[in-house]
Amino acid sequence: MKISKRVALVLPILFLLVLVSISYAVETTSSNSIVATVTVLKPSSSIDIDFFLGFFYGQLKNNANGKGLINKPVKLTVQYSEYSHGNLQLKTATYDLETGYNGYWYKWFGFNWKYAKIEFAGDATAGPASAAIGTLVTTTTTTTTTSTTTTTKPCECKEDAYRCNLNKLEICDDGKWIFVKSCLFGCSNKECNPPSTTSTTTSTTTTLPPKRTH
Amino acid sequence: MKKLIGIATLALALLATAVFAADGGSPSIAANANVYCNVDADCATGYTCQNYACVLKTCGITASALDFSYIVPGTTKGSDGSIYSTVANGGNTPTTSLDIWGTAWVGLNPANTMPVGQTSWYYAGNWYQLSGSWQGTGFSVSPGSTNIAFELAVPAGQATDTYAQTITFMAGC
Repeated sequence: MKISKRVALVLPILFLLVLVSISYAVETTSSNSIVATVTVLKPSSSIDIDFFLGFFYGQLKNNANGKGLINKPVKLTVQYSEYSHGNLQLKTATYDLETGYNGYWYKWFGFNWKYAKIEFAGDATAGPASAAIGTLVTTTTTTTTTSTTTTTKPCECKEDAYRCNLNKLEICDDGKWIFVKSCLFGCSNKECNPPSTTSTTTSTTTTLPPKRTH
Repeated sequence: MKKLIGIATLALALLATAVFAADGGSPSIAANANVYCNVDADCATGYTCQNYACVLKTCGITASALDFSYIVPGTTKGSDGSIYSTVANGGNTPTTSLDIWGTAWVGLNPANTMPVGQTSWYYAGNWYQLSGSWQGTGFSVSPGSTNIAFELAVPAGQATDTYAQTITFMAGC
């Protein structure tokens, strides 16, 4: 029986390895994998609006931690009145802005505004938010299954009607008479009267003394 | 040559004995299943004494799933211990170790991820940050069940999505 030296050395080592493996195999292990789930929501946000010294301004904040949301796009919509060809017209302007330091935003506005709204549409990290100031000039129509109801505020005049009130031209706006301009020579047909059409009658009565007769 | 084989065999026998001894078993009684016993020491390695009989040690671990429900970025959930996995040892012997590891959080949109370490687990008075690699703790889980609390910290600015993470529990006995 010839067994080489190499085999004589390797065989016991192999056997030893098998034994060690068996020994560890006896020490059983058990494992179990589970799945954890979570839904990450957009944090709700809030925005405010105010007006002071010609500026609309406000702040966009994360409601979860109260911190301002910077570099977020916000849209400012302003309803304002402006004279055009002597008429008072209601107009709307929109501005795409971006929040700056600590979520603040601002916009200078020089017209006679009536209503303004700031909106943040929301993005992947923050929910939408909006706020408004003033009164929106509008007519709301509510449709029901049987009839259409128009809801308007109690008003003292018909919308967009004009009147001449003691040489002052006035327009009906939002149910109220609003001063447009003074008319030195009176007004008619939504305009001030020109001087040429104004007639002034001056009557002077002079009572002469009776002729003296000598 | 015969001398060489004899020496090798002797060495092998000695080593085998040492392996059994180091493993805490009882080499004096090579007990198998159902052999009469009074204590574990009466049984061979890998067996435990149950009702005066040696039976194979088992420690089948199961764990219940975790649901962190909804969370807002920049906040932490579960720190109060309200979210936990019930780890049950359905076997007949306490575990000699409890190891936990996990994967990174991945959203339904695979582009959205969170590091595995955003999750932590609580055991025996301490919070441990979950790791992506094997974490040997040596904790013992007795037969029955144990609640292991988990908390999740979602970074500010984390994208909105529904995320999942696989957590693996491994016990040895």
